[in-house]
Amino acid sequence: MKETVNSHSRGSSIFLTALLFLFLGFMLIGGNRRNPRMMAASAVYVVFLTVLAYLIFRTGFVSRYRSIFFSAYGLAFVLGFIPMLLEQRGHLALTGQDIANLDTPLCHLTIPMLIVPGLVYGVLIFPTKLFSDLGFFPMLFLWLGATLTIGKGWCSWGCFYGGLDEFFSKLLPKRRLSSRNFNYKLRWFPFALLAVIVLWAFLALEPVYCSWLCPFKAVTEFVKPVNLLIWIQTGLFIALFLGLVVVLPLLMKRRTQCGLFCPFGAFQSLAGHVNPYRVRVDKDKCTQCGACVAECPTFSITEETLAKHKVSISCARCGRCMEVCPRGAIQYALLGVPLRGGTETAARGRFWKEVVRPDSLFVFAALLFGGIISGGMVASSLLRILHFVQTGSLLLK
Amino acid sequence: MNTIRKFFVAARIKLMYLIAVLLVLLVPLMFFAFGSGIVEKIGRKIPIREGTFSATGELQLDRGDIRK
Repeated sequence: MKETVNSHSRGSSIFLTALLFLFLGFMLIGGNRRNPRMMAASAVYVVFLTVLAYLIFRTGFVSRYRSIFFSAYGLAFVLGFIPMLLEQRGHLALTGQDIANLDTPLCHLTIPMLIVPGLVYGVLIFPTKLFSDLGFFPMLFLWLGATLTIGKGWCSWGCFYGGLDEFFSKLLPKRRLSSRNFNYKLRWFPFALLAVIVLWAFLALEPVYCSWLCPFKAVTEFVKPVNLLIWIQTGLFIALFLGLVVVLPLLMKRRTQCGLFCPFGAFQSLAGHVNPYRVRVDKDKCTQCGACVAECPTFSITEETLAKHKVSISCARCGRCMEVCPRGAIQYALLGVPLRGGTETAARGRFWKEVVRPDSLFVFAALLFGGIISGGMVASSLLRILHFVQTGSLLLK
Repeated sequence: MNTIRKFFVAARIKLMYLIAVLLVLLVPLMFFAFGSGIVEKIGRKIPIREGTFSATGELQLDRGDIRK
């Protein structure tokens, strides 16, 4: 079996996978014990995650198997969210009454825009409730928890929107649009957009990214088009979704929405520094071959950063660079802890050293987080698919 | 001097691994906390309130909302 910098011996792979199975089983299967159908669907999902976890730990191909999980998560989100809204509200497009009733689910992308007006006026500028399931505080605490535990890893392991971008970037076997002449300065665009939307939201007292720019409105919910302005906004959502989430990822085989547009990704790049995990390049091993530059899905490694043996602040911890590096020079690392030296698998054969390697701990935490947060959505989507096969409808009620 | 430096480096590395293990444990704890009502308990102490919106989606903000 081909070994990579993240591969583990059979013993430690089984140990880590079994531990993850116990955690996930307890949280997802045990958490649904009052609903036998959800419990069964969760059990199927836990088995799916357990198989992927074993393959990740054993082979070290973190990105390859993470991508399967992440794509399934993104698709399950779309498949589950729209029918859920239809069941709850009876319609998909937001009406004025829904807004006045604060009946709008909040997503994490909104958080950066709410902070400044919240501090200045003490009021939420987004029409949502403070404590409902998809309200402000649950989302805020979820984001805080994600930032502490996996940092910027949220973008590759926890964000349901990222899963869609990932899915489309993996669909075609070959890259149709080369990024050889790509201007890597564009990777700073999300940071500029973040500054603009935070300021704009404060001045306009509305979540402007949600009103004008969010590509994912096209697959979640949007304001009912009742006038020309809302028709223009709806057209923008659909164009941005098709361009950044479908067409460009298909052609470039990269996550263009995540890497070149998402302002929350930029926000998380800054906030994620509280998390101790990093991706680092071993300057003794790196030959500057550029394989990672050509493959990084979020445009986070450039020839300039590689010359300094660094990855950009926007690195989403997906692990793709570690798979393609022929010298095993790129590793998950812990802040303040030296990189693993010697051969690619220097720690192999020493069970506990493998179990507590930075890559083992990060992947374990990220898969646990991603598994738990996606569990309900994926399980309910599985039930919806089954229901669709039986009745022709995705709606359970 | 070298021994002291080595001691502190080793201590720092052990501390970082300890933090990493604690962060792993924090993941399930965090999701347990959601079901325990702690989010609401902490949230109520944070001085932020829901906005009032018109049917056209505009936030209704009066002068009393601006903090002194």
